[in-house]
Amino acid sequence: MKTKKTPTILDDLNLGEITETKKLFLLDEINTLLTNRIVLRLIEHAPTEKRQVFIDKINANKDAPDKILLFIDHFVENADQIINDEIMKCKKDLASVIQNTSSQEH
Amino acid sequence: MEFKEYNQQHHSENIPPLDLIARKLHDHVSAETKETQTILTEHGIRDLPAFITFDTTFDTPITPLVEAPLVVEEEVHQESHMSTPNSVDTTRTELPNESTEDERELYVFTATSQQQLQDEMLSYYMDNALEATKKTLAQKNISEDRIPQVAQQIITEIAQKKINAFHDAQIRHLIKQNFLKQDAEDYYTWRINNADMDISFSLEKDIENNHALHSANFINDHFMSLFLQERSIEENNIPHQEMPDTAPSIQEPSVHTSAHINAMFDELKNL
Repeated sequence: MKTKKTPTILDDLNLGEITETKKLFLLDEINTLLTNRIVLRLIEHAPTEKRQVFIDKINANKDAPDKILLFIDHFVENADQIINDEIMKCKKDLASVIQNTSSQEH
Repeated sequence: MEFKEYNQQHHSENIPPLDLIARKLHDHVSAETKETQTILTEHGIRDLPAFITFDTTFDTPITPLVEAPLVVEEEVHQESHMSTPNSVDTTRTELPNESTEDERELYVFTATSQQQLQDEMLSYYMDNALEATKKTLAQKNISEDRIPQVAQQIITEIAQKKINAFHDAQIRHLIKQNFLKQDAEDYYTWRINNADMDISFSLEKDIENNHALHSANFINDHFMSLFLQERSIEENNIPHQEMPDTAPSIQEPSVHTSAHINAMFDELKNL
C-alpha cells in the first residue's frame, strides 16, 4: 500500500534514512518525551490555585488526549508559547545528542 | 518474517553508523523519558499518551478569536449534560449556543466517545467563532454581510486545526496503545513491520479523504444555518429559513495561521 511520506523530526535530525520501522518507534519515543517535558513545563507554569485541577483534568482525559489541548489555555497563561518554546528546545537537545554521538564515532 | 528471525537480525553486531546514532538517540530519549515520567508520577500523572508532537505548533493561542471561559470543576453538574449527540449530523440544528459559558465548558468535558468529542469540539468552536468574528469585523468596520464569507473560512481553519491535532493524537495513541504496551522494543518493531502497519495508515488515509472533509462541510453548514437564523430573528423577526442544500464545500481543508486569517480580513477591508 502506498503511504504518504511527510518530513518528520527525524528527517530534520538527518535520521530520515533509517528504516520506517525504526523511525516509527523512535518517533513515538521522542513524542512521549516531548509530551512529558511540555506537560511538566505547563504544570510548573500553572497558577498554584489551579494546578491540582489542571493535573486532575489531564488524568481524566488521558484516553482522549486531544481534549487536553482544548483546556490547556484555561489553566496556563501563554501555554502556546510555552509549548512552542519547549518544542524548539527539545529539537535542539536532540540535535545536540546526535552531534555528540556523531563526533564520538569519528 | 518470524519474530525470532527478526530478533536475531535486530541484534546483529554489524550495525550501520546511522542505526548506531539512532540507537544512541533512543538510549538518551528513553533515559530522559524515565526521568520525566518519575517527576510526572510525583505529580500524580501516569501513562500519559504522547499527544503533543513536533508538528503541534501554534502561531497564536489555540482559540485565537475568543476569550476562553473559565473551567468549571464541579463534576456533579456534568451528569446533567451527558445527553450529547452521537454522531456528526449535517442536519442537526441544536447547538450549544443557548447554554451559559459554564454549561458550554462542561459540554466539552462530558464527551466520552471520540465521535462525541469531535462533534462537540466543532460545535464549541463554531459557536465561539461566530461571536468573535462579528466582534472582529465590527472592529474593522466591515459589514456583517461579509460574515458568512469570512467566517466560513475562519471557522473551517480553526476547526480543521483542532481536527488535525485530534486525529494526530488519536493515531499516535492508537499505535502506542496497540504496540508499546508489549513493553519490548523488538516485539513492537516486529509487529509493526510484519502485521499491523497498515492499520494506522489506512486510518490516516480514511481521515484525510473523508472525515476531515466531512467535518469541514459540517461546520460550514451549521455556521450558515446559525447565522441565517440569528439574522432573521434580529432584523426581520421572520422565522428562520433552512439552510440551502448547496452549502459551500471545501475541496481541500487546510490549516492556516492567524497571520493568514488577518490577511483575509485586510483583503476584505480593501474591497
